[in-house]
Amino acid sequence: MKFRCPHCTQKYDLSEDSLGVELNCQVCQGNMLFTKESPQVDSGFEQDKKDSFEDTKPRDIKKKKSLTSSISKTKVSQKTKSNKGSGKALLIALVLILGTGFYAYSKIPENKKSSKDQIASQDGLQKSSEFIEKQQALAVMPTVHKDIINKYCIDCHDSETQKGQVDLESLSYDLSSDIQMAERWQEVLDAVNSGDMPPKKKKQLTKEEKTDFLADLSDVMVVARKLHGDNGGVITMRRLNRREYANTVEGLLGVRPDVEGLPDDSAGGGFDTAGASLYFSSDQFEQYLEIAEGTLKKAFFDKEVKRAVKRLEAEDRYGRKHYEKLYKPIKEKGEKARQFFAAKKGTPFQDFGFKTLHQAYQAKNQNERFKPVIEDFLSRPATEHGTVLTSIITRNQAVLRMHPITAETEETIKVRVRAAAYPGYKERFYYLELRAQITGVKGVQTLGWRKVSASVDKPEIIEFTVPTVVGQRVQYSIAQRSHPPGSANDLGILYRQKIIHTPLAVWVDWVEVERSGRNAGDSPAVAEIFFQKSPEWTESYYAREVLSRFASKAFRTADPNKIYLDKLMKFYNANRTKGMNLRQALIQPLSIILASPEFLYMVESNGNQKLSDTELAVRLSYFLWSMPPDKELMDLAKQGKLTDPQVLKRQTSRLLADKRSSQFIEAFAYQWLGMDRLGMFVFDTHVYQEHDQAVLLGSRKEIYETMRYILDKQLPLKSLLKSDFIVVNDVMAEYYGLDKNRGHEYRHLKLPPESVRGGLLSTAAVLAMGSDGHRSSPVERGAWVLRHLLHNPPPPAPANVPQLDRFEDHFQPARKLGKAHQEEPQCVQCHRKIDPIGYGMENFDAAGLWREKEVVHHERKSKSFDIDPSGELPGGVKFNNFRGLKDAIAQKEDDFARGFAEALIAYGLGRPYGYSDYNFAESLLTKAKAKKYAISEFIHALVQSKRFQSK
Amino acid sequence: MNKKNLSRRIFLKSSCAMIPLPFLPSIMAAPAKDTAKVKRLVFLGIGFGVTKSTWYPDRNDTGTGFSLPAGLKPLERHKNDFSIIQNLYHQFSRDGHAGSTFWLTGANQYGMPGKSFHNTISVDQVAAKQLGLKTRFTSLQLSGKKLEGAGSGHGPGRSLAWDAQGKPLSAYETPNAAFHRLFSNDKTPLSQQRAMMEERRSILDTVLTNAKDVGRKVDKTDKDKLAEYLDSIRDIEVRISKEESWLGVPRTQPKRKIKEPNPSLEGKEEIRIMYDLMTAALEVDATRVITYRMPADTLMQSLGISTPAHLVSHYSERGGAPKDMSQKRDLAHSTMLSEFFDKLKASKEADGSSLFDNTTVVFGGNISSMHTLTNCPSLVAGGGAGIKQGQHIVMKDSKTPLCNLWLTLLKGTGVKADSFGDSTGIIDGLV
Repeated sequence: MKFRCPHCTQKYDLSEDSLGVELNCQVCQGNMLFTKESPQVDSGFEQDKKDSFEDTKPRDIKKKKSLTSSISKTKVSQKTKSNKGSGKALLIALVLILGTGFYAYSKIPENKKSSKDQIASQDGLQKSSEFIEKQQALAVMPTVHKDIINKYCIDCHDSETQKGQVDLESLSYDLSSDIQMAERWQEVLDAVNSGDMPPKKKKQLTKEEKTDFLADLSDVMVVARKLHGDNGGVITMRRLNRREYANTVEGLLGVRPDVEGLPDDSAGGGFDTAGASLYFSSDQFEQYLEIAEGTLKKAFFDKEVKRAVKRLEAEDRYGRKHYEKLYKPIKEKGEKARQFFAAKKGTPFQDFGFKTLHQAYQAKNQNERFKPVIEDFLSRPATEHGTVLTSIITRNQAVLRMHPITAETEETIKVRVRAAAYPGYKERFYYLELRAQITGVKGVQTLGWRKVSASVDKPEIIEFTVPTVVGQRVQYSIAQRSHPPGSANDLGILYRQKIIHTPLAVWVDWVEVERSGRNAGDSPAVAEIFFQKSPEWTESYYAREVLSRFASKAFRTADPNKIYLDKLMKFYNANRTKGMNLRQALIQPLSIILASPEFLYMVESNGNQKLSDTELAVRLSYFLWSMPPDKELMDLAKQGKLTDPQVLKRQTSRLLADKRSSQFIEAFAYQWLGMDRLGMFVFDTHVYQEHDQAVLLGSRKEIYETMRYILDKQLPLKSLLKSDFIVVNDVMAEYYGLDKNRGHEYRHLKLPPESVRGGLLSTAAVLAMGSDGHRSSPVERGAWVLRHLLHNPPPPAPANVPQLDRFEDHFQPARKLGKAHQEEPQCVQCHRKIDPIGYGMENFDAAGLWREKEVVHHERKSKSFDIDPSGELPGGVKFNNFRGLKDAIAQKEDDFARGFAEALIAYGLGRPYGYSDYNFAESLLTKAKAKKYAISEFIHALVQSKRFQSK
Repeated sequence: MNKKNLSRRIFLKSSCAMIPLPFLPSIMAAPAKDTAKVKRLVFLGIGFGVTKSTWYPDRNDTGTGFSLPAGLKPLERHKNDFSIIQNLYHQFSRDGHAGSTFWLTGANQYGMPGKSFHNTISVDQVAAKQLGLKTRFTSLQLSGKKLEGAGSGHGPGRSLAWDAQGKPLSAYETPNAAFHRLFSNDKTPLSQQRAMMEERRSILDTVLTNAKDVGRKVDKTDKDKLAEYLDSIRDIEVRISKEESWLGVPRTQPKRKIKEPNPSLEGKEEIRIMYDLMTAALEVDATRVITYRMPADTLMQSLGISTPAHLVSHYSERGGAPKDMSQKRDLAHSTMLSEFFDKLKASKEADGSSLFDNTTVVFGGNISSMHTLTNCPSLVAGGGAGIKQGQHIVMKDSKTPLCNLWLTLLKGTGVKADSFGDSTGIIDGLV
């Protein structure tokens, strides 16, 4: 008997014993219950689809193959159900005929039904199949363009002539039919984009025709590529990505492994959780072994490390005595120079002790420029002790460097500075920067900033806490805030303004580094590995038990099998014979466990479609923490309680509330919002002086902290589009000109009504990404908005477009440069959608600060232009300025939420989002919308879904 | 020490223990080497392309005796030893930011239903299958650091090389890592080395036990995924077998000794040292197939340019700072390439010919400039493939498959191949 899924209309041929049993549709996962009374599919349904397509498609379209769906079902006994403690809907595991069934389905609009077949759906959702059909319709090149092909191309490219073996006459206008058809159209697209076709001597398309043709074909091509690339929701077994691997090893051993040498899985585009893209290479295997062995050795460190404090008195580096020593000759030579230049013309400079005239000038110069600064330094009573940080002695930033420390074990390092501030300088200069130079690693790392606010008569002690990386030799140092490597630092910036020193804003008495030390004995992680040996066990039995328990924990959901353990034991035995002690002998087999597939891959298999409780715990934990489940979650899973929706929900909430969920927030936000662009280029800090390292890193953190805040407070997702608050620390608040004394923690800040901030669009991070470090880029910004906020991504930049030459004059306003995009149809087709959005953000400079005029800088010259921030969104909503743009975008909450849901599905399920997920995304959206699209609602809806709980 | 001088005595001297003489390919191969000259292939991928107007020779100035454009001027002294071929491209390449992903493969990213990314074996690996049998390293992949992603112009991948399954092959990402792999001799006594190999085999056997366990549990798709792991283990097994046959054969040191490179070299310095290492590796016949995915942003930085490679690639032909930078980069590349050729020419083989005479060096990429994927920059140098050098060839058809060049080189190098990728034949002008 033939039925259709009431949700997505997928056709099923069921035997009688399937009647009255609740089933899951293999396409949309919806529940289905068929009885003898259910409306059956009549045999003629294949006919109506053809009719409905007749008018939109050319006649030569190939008849599509019919799809026979296979379905199997399992009845789950009442007993099992009650065992699970769930009174909810009976879950029926469906063995999907994976891949091919889905794929064939997604490709073939075979069962596209006319409205008369419509079975009213319960929840009014638009269904995946309909959506896919809609997409398939979108993958059809509108027939109006047939006229264009006929008019301009067919003379040479008809089926008879086939010039260049290109036959456009036989071309199907349905690109969803097969990849070859999409390829042939891609060639057409390429030829028109590159300007190769029509040939120069032949009749050319009008600008409008060409623009529309390219725009339609590019869009159709994107849809067709997605249709052809959709794997129908198959989740590929996934290797732990680099982050997850590091977290997991750290969890097991208590020491963070050094994973710098492993490939960065997040660099390839897409999410780093997508199993299919997480490759494996033989080098990697050897790296895993090596890393595990090294980390185990570090973890087994059990000696005492004494707490130790080392203090550096600042005056020992740049103290009064150093300045006095510098001062004396400058003053004396300066006096001579003064006399020389005051003397009668023709008096030889030798008379004043100068060997050359240049020396006299130098002395004069130093006297005039350096002397006052040194005098300023010396005039400050506080310099009796300590120092005032400035660049005079170093001729560079003054940096207080400590003795390097090598951490032999996980310790906490505290760096303390006794410091005070002199009033009257720019806020930026009151920040102390903690840096670390790691032996063997290029460049200096910045670990954080603290603002000094105490006055000189009442200095304060500032404290940084930093974790150690075992085995690393680190030199900590303290300096004033700096700019990122590759760009001009403050001294360089000030030099250009003829100021020869950095501001004397901060007094530092001393810097000290305290290492926490540790007691002798095992760390908790190691103590767990080497649990108490039972006295009646032989040593070898104990060793085997250690390996067995460690492997169980490392494998997460399965115990190691006997043969595997036997083989591991061989290594242990051989090592013992070599004279190693028990622990040394176990390092090798333990590291082999950490290079075994069951550890490196998230193996999900219990023979069922549905995940087991422990597998679900693992998937959940890696989703929200990027690490294995903790004890509470694993215990619940082992007790079989996790599939209880209430328990699962509570656990999800607990995981989200835990600070380990920052793993999810940061990795997800970074990849979802394309934040790799931040830091890809350096800013011209002569122009954007405020955009320093603290702002660069702080602006990225602002995005994460904002997400965190919105998640924790269960605020609407819309808050990311527009809000009356921001979540910032002192660095960022000051950068936005808002609050001067906030402290270094990120906190909620209520915005004054006139503020332009609030929402992703006006964050320094997003605005800076929409630039190249020199100029703002309306194109980058507009495309970012379309991609990440409006869920309307422009097609990929076409290759082989003839290059538009920019103006020779560098001083052109952005609007005028953008005009070039209107000249050629190849550009207009996309840029007409992109650029007008970007213009709305032109009141922000490249570094994200507000400006009234567009200032164009080039080689130390600059020119100002008026800004016209009006524009429009696709669909025609017009705006006059940035506020208008932000308001208009805030109206697009549903689109934004959809983009968010799709990204979340991709990240959480570990596979690319496909069209076949349309209905699924819609169900998340429906659930989340009831709670104003709170982030946690999406997450709950995803976690509670069948897809998340299925293989 | 040259491998050809490797005698039994030297071998025995170098090993501490008296053991039966193993099969030594270097010794076995030695006589063969005199009769049939060893051919080598080197591919240098630059990612983002070149400056169109100053790197390509004038299209009307073809054949021999063409004049070198400004961007190639530093190669003047080698003018008769390399050729430029224009109008080559990959018909399936569409990603304007991927200058390396498909450069040596010609694959269609969208060619497989149900997948949004697909690739096929790269030409170097086809060659390595045959040329790599007798060398310690079947092929050598080198790459600059952190070149994944769009910013570098190279696109997805871990090197220029892709294996027979179309999976990315990894590379040594620093000269230091490559140096140790190529020239650091294991000081461990031979018996111990042998024991360690056995131990490595046991390790592989152990993880395979676990892999079989996993394989029993998972479905078809995951089995395919697991196959990647198994393939890697198999690779290592093959490598161990190869190493075993080389056991006790010290890594031949180049005539001009190379110092251990500083681990933090970047940009220009990195490229120079990599060229030295490549020369040395070819000279001692450690490998015959090398690919190098060259640094982009760090090269710019080492030239004193803070603008990233991507932005530089968006230069304007009418002038301006990015064009200057683009030209500066071209010059730097040509200068270093010229030095590389010098080194290859200076290294003499037993028969008096130079390494350069027996090596083919390809310099180029999939992107010509900006997002343009036509007229892929293609510079082919050296005598390794027996091609006619000193030419500027502009293919009549502007859509000649780049794979035709790859096929030409494969055939010229003596690799058995009837076709490669979408090749339609060989480039007649070169043979």
